Amino acid sequence: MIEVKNPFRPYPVRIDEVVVETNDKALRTYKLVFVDPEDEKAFQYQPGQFAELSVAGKGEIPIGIASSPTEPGFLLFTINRIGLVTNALHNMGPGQIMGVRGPLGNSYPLAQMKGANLLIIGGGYAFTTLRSTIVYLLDPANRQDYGDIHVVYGAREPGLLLYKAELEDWQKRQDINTYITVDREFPGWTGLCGFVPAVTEQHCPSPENTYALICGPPIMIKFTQPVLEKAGFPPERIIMSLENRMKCGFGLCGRCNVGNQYICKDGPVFTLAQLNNLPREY
Amino acid sequence: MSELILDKARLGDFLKAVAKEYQLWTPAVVDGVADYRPFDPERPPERKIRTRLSIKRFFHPQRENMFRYSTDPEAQEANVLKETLPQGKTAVFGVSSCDARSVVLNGLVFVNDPNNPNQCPYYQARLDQTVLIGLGCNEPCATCFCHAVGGHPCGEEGLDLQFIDLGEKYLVKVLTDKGGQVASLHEMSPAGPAESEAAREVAKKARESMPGGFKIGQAVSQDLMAIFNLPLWEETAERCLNCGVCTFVCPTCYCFDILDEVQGQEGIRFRIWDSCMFPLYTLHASGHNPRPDKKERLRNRFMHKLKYFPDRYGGKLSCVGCGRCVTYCPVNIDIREVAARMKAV
Repeated sequence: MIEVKNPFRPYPVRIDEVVVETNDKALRTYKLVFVDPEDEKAFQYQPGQFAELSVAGKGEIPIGIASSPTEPGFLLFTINRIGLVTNALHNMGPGQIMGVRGPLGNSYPLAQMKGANLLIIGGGYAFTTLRSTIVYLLDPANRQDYGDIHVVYGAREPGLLLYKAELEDWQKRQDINTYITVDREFPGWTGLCGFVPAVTEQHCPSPENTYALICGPPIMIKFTQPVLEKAGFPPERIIMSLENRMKCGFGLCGRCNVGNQYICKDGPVFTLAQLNNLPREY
Repeated sequence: MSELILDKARLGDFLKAVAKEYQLWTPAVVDGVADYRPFDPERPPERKIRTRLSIKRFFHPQRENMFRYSTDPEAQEANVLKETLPQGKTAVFGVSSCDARSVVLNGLVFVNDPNNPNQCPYYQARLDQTVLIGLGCNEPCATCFCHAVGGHPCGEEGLDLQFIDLGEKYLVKVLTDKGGQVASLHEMSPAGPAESEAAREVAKKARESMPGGFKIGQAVSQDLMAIFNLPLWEETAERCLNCGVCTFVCPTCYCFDILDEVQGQEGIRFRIWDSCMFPLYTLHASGHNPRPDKKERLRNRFMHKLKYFPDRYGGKLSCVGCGRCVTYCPVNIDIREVAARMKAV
């Protein structure tokens, strides 16, 4: 009989810390530590990948990995309270045992983008794998491999921005240009105002040798895409991360397909050039 | 590959011998429904019939328990999932060639995809533990089209043993080591050249009795977006009920959901058949649904079988031509007619 590793088996992890990210308390970041150090060794991931988070008795949810492989010892996941599993998670705290299955999916093409400039565009709570990417890029071991880095990140209001302390740090740095925006003026907010597509247009770098990475709600993607095309970004260098409902996470259970591609296995990261030849079933 | 002869009068004895070593299933009509049933020595084996459900369930059961766990905080390893692999040797007699092929095609997804580092240990365990004893079709049904999708009414793909009905006796082809072990459970004589020739003739006649003119596979060479955007889908979906019976009876529909169930503090994680015909299949937690209407769902099923799957697996269709969807669709949607229209004009 052939010995097959069980890709459905979650690694046991312990919740180490829970950080409430947003004013409405709907988004919390979970810091998870592997119970067995061997499992951590097996979990080798890249920015852009996701994992299935498992709560015994409730089920599993696919969530992008918000930590970076340059941050060993733990995993970060930022979770919106919206369904059965996420509600259960929001009632769990440090010390409790849950599961992580993965890493799953492909990643942002970091090797391919070496030597290029990057324009990273995020909106709302879809900033998790972009946070992973930025932390990875800013790591001293990696920063010199890339050119200019621009980040445009927006939310409806200041209280809904994720990772606020890190955003402030990045804004002070010289090796990354960060444009943080909120949809409209807000008492006490002194930063940029305006929707992500408009802010992108105002601060868009030259498309010359530049990749654009986009992750956000469908409406943001819909209006940002023409901005990038107008600026001269070819579809091969517009890179997006998609979401669909998922169960297995590796191309078996069927539901997350977009045409002949599975978001869980062939994605979640696709270039606009790839997506232009596929149905818009996402 | 050896060829043996079993007298029809000795079939019951052979099956009894198999049932001693394996959990044996044979086709039977119970309460008017043809299905695989546990072997009953008192019930004579049915002649060739097409069961309502395929043999999919012996490899991908409607419900497969995957893990157990305890949610008792006092328990050792509380909330840690423990694998539960299926156990026990199973043999299935009377398997049609189309059904046997479905095990191979689904296997491409579950355990044999060279582009997928992850394999399904549950499917593999059932492959390892199950022996398929085929019975070739002498007279294919009117809804059959195995020959149009790469199969044959007496095809051998996926089988361990193949029985060919020669009238008073069966020619028994041993196709695998597992099949050889089962054949050795009962005395059979070697087949002579005349009997081998007679079996070839039966297979040839069966194949020739099937109609020509099918265009099941033409979508494979068509442009994906061109056939995706055909008016065909809107028109066909008008009468589709999204009832999902096509996916339920289909041997090559393998989609599943994964669920948790807890009684007291004992939990089970299991998978269960799902269907792309249902809105919940793709519904996001946000309320957004990428396939919101029955048009999109019906289209996905045909596109998956006849375009997306072949694109991924060397041109092979995810259809074995068993005709069950044709028979059981309450509004007479016929995959043969749909496939014929999957062509950009």
